[in-house]
Amino acid sequence: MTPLQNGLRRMGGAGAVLIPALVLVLVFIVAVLLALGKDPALAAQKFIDGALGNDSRRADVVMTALPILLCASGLLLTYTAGLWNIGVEGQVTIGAVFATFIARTVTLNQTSIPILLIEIGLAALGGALWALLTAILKTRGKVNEIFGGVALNFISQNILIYLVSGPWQAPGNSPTTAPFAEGALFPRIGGLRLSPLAIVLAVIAYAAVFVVLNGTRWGLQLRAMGRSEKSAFLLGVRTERNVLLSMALCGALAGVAGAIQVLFTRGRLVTGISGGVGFLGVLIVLLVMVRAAWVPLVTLFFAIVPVGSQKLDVSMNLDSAIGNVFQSALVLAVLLANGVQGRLAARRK
Amino acid sequence: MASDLFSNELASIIRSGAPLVLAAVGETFTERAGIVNLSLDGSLMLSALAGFVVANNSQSLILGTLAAILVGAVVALIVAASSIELRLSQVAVGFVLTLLCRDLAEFLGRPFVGVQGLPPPYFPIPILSDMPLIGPILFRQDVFTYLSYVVIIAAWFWIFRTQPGLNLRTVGERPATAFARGIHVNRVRYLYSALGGALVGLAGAAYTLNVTSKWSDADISGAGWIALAIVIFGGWYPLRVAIGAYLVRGLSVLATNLQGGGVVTLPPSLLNAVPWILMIVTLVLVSSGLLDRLPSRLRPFTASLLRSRPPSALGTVFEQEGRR
Repeated sequence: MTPLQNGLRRMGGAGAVLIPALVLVLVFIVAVLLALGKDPALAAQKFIDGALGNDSRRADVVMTALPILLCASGLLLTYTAGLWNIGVEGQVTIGAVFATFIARTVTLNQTSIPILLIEIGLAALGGALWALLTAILKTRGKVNEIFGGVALNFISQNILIYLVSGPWQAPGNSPTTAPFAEGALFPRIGGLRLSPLAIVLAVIAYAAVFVVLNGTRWGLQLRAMGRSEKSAFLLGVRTERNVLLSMALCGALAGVAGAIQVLFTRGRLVTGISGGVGFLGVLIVLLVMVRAAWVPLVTLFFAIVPVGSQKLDVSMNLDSAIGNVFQSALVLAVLLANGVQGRLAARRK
Repeated sequence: MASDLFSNELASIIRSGAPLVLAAVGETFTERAGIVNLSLDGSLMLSALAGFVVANNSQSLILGTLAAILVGAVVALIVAASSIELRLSQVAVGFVLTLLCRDLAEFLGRPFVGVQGLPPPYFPIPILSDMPLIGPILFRQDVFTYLSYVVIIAAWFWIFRTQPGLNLRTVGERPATAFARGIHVNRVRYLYSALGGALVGLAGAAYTLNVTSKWSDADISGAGWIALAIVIFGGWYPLRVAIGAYLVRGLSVLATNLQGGGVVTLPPSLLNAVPWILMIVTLVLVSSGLLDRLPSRLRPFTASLLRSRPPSALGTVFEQEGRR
């Protein structure tokens, strides 16, 4: 079988899982909508129009996808090594906070590349340091990275609330900083909400991760660790160093995602700045079962959901949280369908 | 007067700690059988919502509680089935369920924010509640709190003093041995997943039908993760788990009071971070082996109080010979 045929066969296999799962979840969502007395056909039409109706909305989908793609890329590294970096949400948050250290002091009114580079660099540093906390707790404190990560997520959330309702609060009562000056923000193209710089960052990050995982010795080491950390260690892989390094790299990418959220999406620091992009990254990596090649497509698909469901909120009085339900239900359905397929294949042998 | 205040405070810790106790002891059962139900943070929230909605629509606390229990048990059974039948990672399925249940609760619960619930089932026990000191603390409570006492004691007795409890521990430690002794390993795992999930559901009901008497996802968010950490802190022993739950509640009440009394003036947002810092510190303490470096005279004490080792077969799949 040629590599192409093999690839097509594998894609067919993935489709055999994805399509029934998607149908199942859509049936579930339609049932929920009917139970709430909403018209599913109208909702679907509003949703698609809201996400893809014109250039500006399509641009929003692309921009929504970028922070998620950054997180998912970083998570590919940790999940390949078998590390459950649930703490990615906190790493996004701390990245945004670190970028704000500089951004709130900028008064310049035109785009400045040096300032942007410093902000992005600081955000990456913040995310990496926050991820290293979880990693050191794991390697030295024997605290499972899931629990360390969850605790640090909540801590970062409280630090954020403290900053935007305390020392960094803009005059007034709402928990937010003042809007940043133009010089602190990502530049955007004309009338569209589209930032080439953010696109370049996310695409480079993803491509780098892809190459590292599929074409380097280190990627192979991570994969060995994912199979069995103990065996990898016995074979001479420096597992502790790799845990720290992969977590720090993931944290850095999550931090850059935080920079995009604060310097582009919101333009100021507010509570809930991450917008859940970290957990979306985890869902995506679980959905594609840590296969890097599928990540961009699935990320774009996932980015359509929040943009489209915003429209439902306005026009049908339907809470946009239905989009989140759809995403997590889809991942659960794909996991279960994969399990069923795996069992059927095992029985056939 | 001062002692009245003190006993009121303790009574409120016991009452508001009941959901944590129920959820953590429930998870202890599940994990003792070798299954991690990581979905706690979401399933607690979804069952709390289900309990609140059903109770309000039927005007019956009992029906509400049963609905919450059902939701908790079903979510736990999904985790168990995907591990036992489909060989999927319990952590992956549990985590996705955490998010799914949370999102569902947020979406479905939006119309119920701000709705007033039924009055809690307050029920002072005659005679016992008149006992000096402990009467007002333990026995002037509500039905959910009494259930939490029953669950703690029954869990300890069941796990450590009965034959089925011994079977349960064997399934979690040495499933192959248990199987050789004629125990249906996977049946036991289903059973205790359902039981543990049911207790998580009861915990959810205890939140919205008793502690808060209203629906708000923010109130419950994070409680499931705390309960999961308490299971580790408690070393999978129901009594230690319960103590851990009361300690967590007690410390956060204490922190709030110190704040209110002007003793410490931390911003409330930073105060909210305290339980999570505590969680990290205690997890390091019980898992890192730091305790082994203590002077040997202290060690028997710390070992019985703080040593924590998970059931050996936790999170693994049991493959019965000759079956695929």
